Amino acid sequence: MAAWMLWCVAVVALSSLACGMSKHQRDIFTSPISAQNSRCFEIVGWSVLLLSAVAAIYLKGASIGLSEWLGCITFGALAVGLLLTYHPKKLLQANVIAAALFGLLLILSLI
Amino acid sequence: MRVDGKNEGPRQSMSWLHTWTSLLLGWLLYAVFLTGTLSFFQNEITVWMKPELHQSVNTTSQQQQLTYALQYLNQKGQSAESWNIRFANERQPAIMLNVRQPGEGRRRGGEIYLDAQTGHEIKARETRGGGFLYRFHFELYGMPRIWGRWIVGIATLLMFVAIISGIITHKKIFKDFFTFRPAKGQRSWLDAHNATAVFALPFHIMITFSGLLLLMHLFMPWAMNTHYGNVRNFYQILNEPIAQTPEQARLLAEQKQKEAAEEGRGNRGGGRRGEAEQAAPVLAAAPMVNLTTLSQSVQQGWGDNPISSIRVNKPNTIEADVQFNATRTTTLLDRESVPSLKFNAVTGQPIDEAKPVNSASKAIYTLVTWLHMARGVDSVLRWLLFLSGVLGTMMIASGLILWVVKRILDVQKLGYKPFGHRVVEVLNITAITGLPIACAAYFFANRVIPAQLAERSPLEINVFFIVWLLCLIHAAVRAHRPAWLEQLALAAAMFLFIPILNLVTGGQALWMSIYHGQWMIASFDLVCIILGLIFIYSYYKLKRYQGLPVKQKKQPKAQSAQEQA
Repeated sequence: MAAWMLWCVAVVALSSLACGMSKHQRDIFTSPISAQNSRCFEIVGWSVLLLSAVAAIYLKGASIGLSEWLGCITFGALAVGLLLTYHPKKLLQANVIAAALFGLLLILSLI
Repeated sequence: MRVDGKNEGPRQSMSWLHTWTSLLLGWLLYAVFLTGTLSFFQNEITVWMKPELHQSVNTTSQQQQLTYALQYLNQKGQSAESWNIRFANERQPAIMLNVRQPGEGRRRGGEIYLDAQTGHEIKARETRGGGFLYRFHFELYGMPRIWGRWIVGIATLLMFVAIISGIITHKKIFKDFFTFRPAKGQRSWLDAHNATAVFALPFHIMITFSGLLLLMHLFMPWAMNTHYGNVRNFYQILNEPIAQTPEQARLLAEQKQKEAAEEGRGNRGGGRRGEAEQAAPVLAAAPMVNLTTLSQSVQQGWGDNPISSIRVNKPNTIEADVQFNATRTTTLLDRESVPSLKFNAVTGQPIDEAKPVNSASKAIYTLVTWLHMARGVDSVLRWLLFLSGVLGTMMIASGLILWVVKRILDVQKLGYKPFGHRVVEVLNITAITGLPIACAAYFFANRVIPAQLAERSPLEINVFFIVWLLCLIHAAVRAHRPAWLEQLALAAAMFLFIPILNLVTGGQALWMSIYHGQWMIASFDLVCIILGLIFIYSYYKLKRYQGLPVKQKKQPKAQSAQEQA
């Protein structure tokens, strides 16, 4: 469950990073993105990634936590990569779904 | 300096290095990656290959299972040197016992299985199971072990070279992190190669580096030999327990004394260790404490980390001791981090044994090698490692195909296929689809060869290699495109048939294994179905593919069409 939550977070963070890359902006957005906004996307992406790493280390210890974190990032990147290839315009929707799934899993694990 | 004498920059030379080292060992590395990836689940594969065990449904408590095990062992393993009891768990449906008789060394095999529900003994068929694939991935087969290890080790070294030179060659991999451009021939294969490489890059580095570390005693024995006499001494001294308390020091001294005495006996006997131990004095019998209640209190202390195995040394004698081992570790940085407790089995007093101390270099070694072997990790990390291994296998496959695709235009200009190009094509097919077919054939052989047949496990392995050889012949005889199509179709058919085969040859049907929560069996069938679907998808993708839209004034390429496979 924690791994799926981590995966959701990775999807959101990596999507944000992709939004900050000029290369993908044409595919994702209909209007051009300012340099400032690109920077924002980058900062958000990296901070979420970092925060999730800290959470993973806190929950499972440095060695296991970081190993799992890297594994989840791998498959988060795979998901974002496939999404950008085949449905770049649906990236936002996919992120909403990932965030909702994360929330749902969070509630389930807290109960 | 290049063999052909041309000048070049560092990136080009890296590219050259990357292409040729990878091609040379790509097929071997593909085989190592594929069988190695399967080895993350070698327990599960072995369980699937012993369908007799499927009837054992793990619904009983560990206390009940321990009672069954002790019942059996007290009857049939009375005079044993040691007992090892492995409980049924999420990776194993039955209770597994090992009985070591006096004078026997440590060895594999000889497992006794008990039904977790009834406690009756289950006679499982003789097979190497997942162990064959596991052994194959680092020492190959049919040659002296050392040779196999050297060959795989050199391939690993070149894999490490390929990873580093690959990062430099495809320097855009980080800039192109999410980029995949499908249906563009060579470009798509390069993207796929880059994506599978860069997404799982930490895994690739970890698995290759730790692979080298695991074989370090083979490649660089000099320091160990000079300082410690030999490799075995090195590891022994490295893991020498160090006493922290007076009590531990006392136990350690006692143990050393005993070992020295045993060794002395062995030397005087002049023979092998086995003969020496038979001459050991018979220990007086003594009743053991109630191990079931002891295990209960141990389990309470460990919470949700279940006891994985119990080892009883010198059972039912005055020197009996019992050790409990947990399933998971709390950190991958310490060899001693999987919780374990030892007790005097007669008095029930805990034995506080000295343990080796940790150091930074040992921590790094433990971290990467335990990840490599997925030791002490939970099922989540095991699946992540497995899936990363799948990505690695795909990375190698796409790299091999890329080599061919990249040279198609040149070959067409040439007007005929050079022999070398044809060899690469044939070997690509033999490796990429031939090896999965051979694995499927291994599973088929496991179920078709009669279970009672003596010496049946070498037969299974022979089927594996014969089918692989047939794939090679088929790829060599048939033209390129039909060879791909036919092998993809065969692979799809075989993998999709495996769950049915499981059902009709005495295994637990997929719906029943899911119903009983026997995921170690169900996931094998499910993964086979998924593999079958992937092969079907590749088949149709290739079947529909009619070559790239023609850019130059050239004829459409009929033969070059494996690009979408």
